[in-house]
Amino acid sequence: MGMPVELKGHVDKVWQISWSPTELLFVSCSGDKSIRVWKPSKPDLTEWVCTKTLDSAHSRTIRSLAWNPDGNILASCSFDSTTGIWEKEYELVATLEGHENEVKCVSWSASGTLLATCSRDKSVWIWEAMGDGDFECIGVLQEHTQDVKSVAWHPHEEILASASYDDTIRLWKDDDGDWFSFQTLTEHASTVWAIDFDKSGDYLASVSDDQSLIVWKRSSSGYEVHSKYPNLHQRTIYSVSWSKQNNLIATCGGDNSFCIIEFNPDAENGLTLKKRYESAHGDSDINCISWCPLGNNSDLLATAGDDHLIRVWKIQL
Amino acid sequence: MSTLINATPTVYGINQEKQEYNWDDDVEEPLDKDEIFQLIRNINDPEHPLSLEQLNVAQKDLIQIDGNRILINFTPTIPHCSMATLIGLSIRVQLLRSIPSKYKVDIKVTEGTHQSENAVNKQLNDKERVAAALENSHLLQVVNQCLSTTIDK
Repeated sequence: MGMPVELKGHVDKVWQISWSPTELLFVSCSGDKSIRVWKPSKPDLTEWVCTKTLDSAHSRTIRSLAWNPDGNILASCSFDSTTGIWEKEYELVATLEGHENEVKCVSWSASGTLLATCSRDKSVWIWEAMGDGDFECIGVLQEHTQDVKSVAWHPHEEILASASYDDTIRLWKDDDGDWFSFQTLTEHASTVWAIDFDKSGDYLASVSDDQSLIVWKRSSSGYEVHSKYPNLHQRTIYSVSWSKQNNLIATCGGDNSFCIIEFNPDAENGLTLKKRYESAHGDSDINCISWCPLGNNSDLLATAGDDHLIRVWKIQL
Repeated sequence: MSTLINATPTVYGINQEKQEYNWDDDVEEPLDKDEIFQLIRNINDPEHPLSLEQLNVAQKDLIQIDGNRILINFTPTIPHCSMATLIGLSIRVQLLRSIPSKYKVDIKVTEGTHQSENAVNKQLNDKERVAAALENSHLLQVVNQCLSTTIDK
């Protein structure tokens, strides 16, 4: 079996995958209400196996997963309005309640002490990890006017970005215990589905139902548009992943394809499409794309589709 | 019974001969407008014992097919119809259950026929919203009620 490797197991659309930051494995979540853990079973990575299935924690679709920076705590969030916390070989140690309805995304801060969740209830919640599965909500951020689709922390600082069905991205920080939105980015013309920082945090990538990719650059006054790639996909772009090893951005969406784009910060418009993979999940939407964060495996990319499948790709440009 | 949004809708004639439409079992054959219309014409309006075809909410000419892309426009009976999202969701569910998943379906209110056109369209075409709606058992029950009239017609 060669690349891409096709992973079967889920029995409904796969919404997201999350690579471990410390070892070569990833977890996936699905409309089938389960989380699966996947590891390579051959040194050349041409075979992967599901080593665990967690299917008792959530009563509805599991939408998103996130590892803490140490790779020893996993958070899962679900349309059942809760967020699960998993420790010690995938034992559910806490269930965070508070959102009124679907929790759509979860993200850990760089220090691993803060967790952000967002929901169709238009709010973003910031939780502080107190240890031993104990979490305290320290902020309920309610500036978005519609569903909040995703959240992403800055790679070094306690700055949070959130993307919404209200077509905007908001940036948040803490002022003496009070979380506030210090900037609203309004360049997208429709729902912003996903965001990801580059490894420096000086740049932020966003993708939208408007079928475009935008890269924002940080300046003294906040984030500003640096580069735009209009009509990158022919339908909604659902996911974006910025490699933490290089300047490659991957996107995927409802047009069955995924794209590898190179970003050059010194160019006027720094986005160059290097390769487009058509029909990467056959006739299916691709919901998630994610670069492996490990330095030795930075050419590995995982995609998840409506076809219930996950694919692991080795990207050679 | 609660007050109806549109108590006296105009009822239109239906095309009788097309009720005899023959299904094409050849899977290689792409779907055409007739087949799509056949699937949605008998969906029941959420507040009347009338079909979307009888109310002119669904019309064959409002269906466009381009390769694997299908655009269905529907026309609410009144511009402030609060049932518009539910009607659109019923059309979406009917197609999710009936046609191959390779088809990418967009469902939109006919331009200029609803005061919240953009909001309704956005909701109907957000797959995450639709997936969550279909896990809501109450909503699903209402949708199934609208779709119950599409069987055996």
